[in-house]
Amino acid sequence: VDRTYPTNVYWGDQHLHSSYSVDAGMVGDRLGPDDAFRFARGEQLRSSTGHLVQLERPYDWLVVSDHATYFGLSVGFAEANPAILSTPAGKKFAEDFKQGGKAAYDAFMQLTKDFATAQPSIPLEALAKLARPVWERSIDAAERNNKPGKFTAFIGFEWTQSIRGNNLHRVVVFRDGADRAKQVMPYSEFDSADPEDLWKYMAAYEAKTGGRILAIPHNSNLSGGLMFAPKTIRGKPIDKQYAQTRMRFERLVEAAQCKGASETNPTLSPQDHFANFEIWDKANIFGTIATTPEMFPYNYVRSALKLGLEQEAKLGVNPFKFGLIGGSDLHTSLSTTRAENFFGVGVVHEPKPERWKEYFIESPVSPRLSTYAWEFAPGGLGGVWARENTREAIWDAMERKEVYCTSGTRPVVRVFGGWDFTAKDLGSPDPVWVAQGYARGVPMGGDLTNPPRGKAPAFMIKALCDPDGAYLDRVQIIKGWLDANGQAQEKVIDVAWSGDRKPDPETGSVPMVGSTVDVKNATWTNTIGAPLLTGFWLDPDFDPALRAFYYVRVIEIPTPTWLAYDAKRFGVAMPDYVPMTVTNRAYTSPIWYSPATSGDRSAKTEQTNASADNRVHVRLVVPADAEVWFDGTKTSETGTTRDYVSPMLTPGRDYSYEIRVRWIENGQPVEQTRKVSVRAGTVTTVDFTKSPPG
Amino acid sequence: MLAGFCREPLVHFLAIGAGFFLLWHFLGDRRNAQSERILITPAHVERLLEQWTKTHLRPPSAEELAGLVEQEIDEEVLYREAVALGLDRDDLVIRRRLAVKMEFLTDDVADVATPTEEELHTFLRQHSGKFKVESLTTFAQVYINRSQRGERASAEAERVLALLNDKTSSDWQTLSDPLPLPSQYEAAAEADVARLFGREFPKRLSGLPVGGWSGPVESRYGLHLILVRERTAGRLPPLNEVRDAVMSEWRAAERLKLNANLRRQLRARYAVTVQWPDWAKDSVTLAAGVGAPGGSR
Repeated sequence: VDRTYPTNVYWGDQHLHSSYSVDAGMVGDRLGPDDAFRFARGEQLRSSTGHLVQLERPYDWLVVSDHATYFGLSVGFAEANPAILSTPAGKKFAEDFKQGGKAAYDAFMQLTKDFATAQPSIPLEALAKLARPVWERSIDAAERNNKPGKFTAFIGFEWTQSIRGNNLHRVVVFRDGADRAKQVMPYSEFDSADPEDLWKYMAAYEAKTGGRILAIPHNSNLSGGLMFAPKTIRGKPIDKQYAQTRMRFERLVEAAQCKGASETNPTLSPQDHFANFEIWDKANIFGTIATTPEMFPYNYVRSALKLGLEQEAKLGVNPFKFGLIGGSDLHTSLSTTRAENFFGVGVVHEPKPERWKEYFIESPVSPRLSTYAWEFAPGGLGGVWARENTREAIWDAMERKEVYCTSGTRPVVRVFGGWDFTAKDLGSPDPVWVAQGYARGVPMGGDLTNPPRGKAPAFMIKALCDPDGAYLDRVQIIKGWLDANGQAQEKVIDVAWSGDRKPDPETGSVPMVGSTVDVKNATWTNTIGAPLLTGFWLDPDFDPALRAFYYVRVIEIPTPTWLAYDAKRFGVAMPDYVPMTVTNRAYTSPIWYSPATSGDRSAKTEQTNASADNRVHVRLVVPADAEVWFDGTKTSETGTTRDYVSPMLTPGRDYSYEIRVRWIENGQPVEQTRKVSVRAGTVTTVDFTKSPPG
Repeated sequence: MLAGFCREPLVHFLAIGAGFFLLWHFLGDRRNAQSERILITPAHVERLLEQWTKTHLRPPSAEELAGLVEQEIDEEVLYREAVALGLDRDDLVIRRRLAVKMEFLTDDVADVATPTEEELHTFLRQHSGKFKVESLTTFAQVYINRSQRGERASAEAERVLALLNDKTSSDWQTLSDPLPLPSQYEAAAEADVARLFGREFPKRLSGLPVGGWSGPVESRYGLHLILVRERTAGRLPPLNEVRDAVMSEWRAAERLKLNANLRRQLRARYAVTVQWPDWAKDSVTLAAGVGAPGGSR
């Protein structure tokens, strides 16, 4: 049976740095993008500090996302690139690095400070001359390692905007191969520090090459209240145009990575027992400006999803309607996101006994704002629901948000929302419930609208533990909505849990699962929790007039942190404030509900199917001998009824085709051209044997 | 890293004209390198002339050519004096660049060599893992949820196994506890099985007989009774099927080998001592076996 819906979860990291990043290559990373891809494919490597290292289970895909800021400068110094050394500034840097010690340290710090001012210390022309060949090498590495069906190596880079140390970084991912990606250069904050200019670059890339490209913001937790602000970085209130453009290019947000999770903060979500997770909320990325509570709503994903509903009510378009994915952001070329195999955020933090107490950032302002290695999380991962492991299939899944974020482990999570699911549907075996899920509802990342009278959204959820990891504690639904007064609200609901724990009759929350972690030996057992949790939930408070979103959070039982493994392996003692256990977790992309703006009932089918099927189907009725052109391209199909399927398109967006048909009638050639508007997930029939309507 | 570097005429000269000589020079007796003689060959003069012409778009006059050669001699003398004084040693850029040059020279040699048929056959056999066509398994599984059934899970597995082997009826799927994974797999590769059932599972699966239900086999999820319907053993394809891949891997390996050989030979001329910090003494070993912790290995 040829299934048209996604059948597999493909695991990968959309955010990894190699020696081509200046803050990796200049501080000891000797492994280039080729090594990064080979490692992700499961090859054993020697790390930059000489340890043999290998993934416990290979990834299915990877993006090597080196910083566009000073792209390849580390390579330039290592190879004494004449373009760099011929500039006075470049020569001075090279001499300082040559001198070593304090001079080299100061030189490096100057380069990182340039990230915060967006002013290059080395002339842009020299940087461009250097970056071109290094960018091509980076692309070639992706091409060499891309093996459709087995492993997907994406071409990408990071647009690293850190003005005043606030993190507005985005990873940019190409759907395309070298032929298209080589037509552009990575776009950096030296080109522009305004994300809207990045989107212009992306639009220009798509227009020039016919390719596709998306951007994934990260570390909103360190953005100083800017990432999800209702203002542009130029200080203007965001408008409809801004919202549309942002949602065209920024379909996902990275919600977990090594420098903290960005789902929510205990201050924002005081009722959420699991909100205090991998929190980095002291300051911006350089430890120069303290984070204050007024910034929190604009720094976290859950509050941004709520802000998105508010903005949608105001602008008609939701600017923060993004899905969730994880990434590592490690700077070692080694994506090692598991506690038992964590190779550090940078090469200086690769395994050694005292690494836990080293500085990550020593704040120039106050010791209170400094961060230490023990605060690192190993980094997140992305699970992608797709039919096959190719650039196209995985990128398209990102685009339609059928992806989820984990804090580094690999549990399998599936959710469907619909109007008429029952608990019985959930009980039917795989693949029946999945087929039903797609046929009668939408998966993660989808939209619900036009509820049948008296119906509320129902959710079917199945979660399986990481097949090499810890059992599951519970499955939760996080609901956010805009109440009748226009106030954004949130609620966490326990939907399924292991064992026979009884929910608190008052709050409905299920007691903690306990812990089997033996900290001294850094071990745990799967004697609590469950390998499989299934949940069915019908929203009891649903009001069809109110906008809402729902996402699923799956919590694993406690396991040892990488610090507990370090303490055991190296026999070092760590103080009480160093965390020894962690509850890893998964967050799915949300499913949104919006009240229909018109009484158009057909919108429902359109929206529902759109998520399962992102193609446009066009059926033509033509004379048997007709020749057919789509947008000027001749097609080869024959017959009186001809079916055409488009490539994957964005659901909900309008596309149009110009269809030209030519045939012979009574010995005379007849030609007709019609412009047809279409939408992904719909079938449009055009009959050329009848005159056009109207 | 070599692209820009290769365009420099000096490199061409070294690589093509004097590559082997230079190799010999590094490997040969050091004392010979201390010669005071400077020889400017006709080819060398031609090269200076060519460079000059490229820059100025006309050939140099006799006077200008003399000047070029003077300059070249001075540069060579200064260079040798600098080397004699050890000025090159603490210069990271020079150091790195010279090391890259040495690597480049050996890479060049490896590219010229062509393997014999025999060498390719041997390489294919020795690296069968790289070229193997993966083993594929077509199987069905019935799941027993151990975390729900607790101590009775094993007995339940035995009971269900007996039922499965007893009956030929097609309702075997109803005997499975619910699990959101397919019950049947068509020609699944090991990597796919590992992604779904964990990294130990392919090994366990490969030990099961073809035809007839067997198990239970353990995964994180619980117990699985398995019917292996068909197994295509992994196989090593004949050379002709994978010639290009073997050739390119052979070349890559040969390059590494030459580099390693050269470095080993060079290293042998030095008494290397690495003074490891205490924490590293027991955990780090150098691949080439020279300069092991404390210099004792």
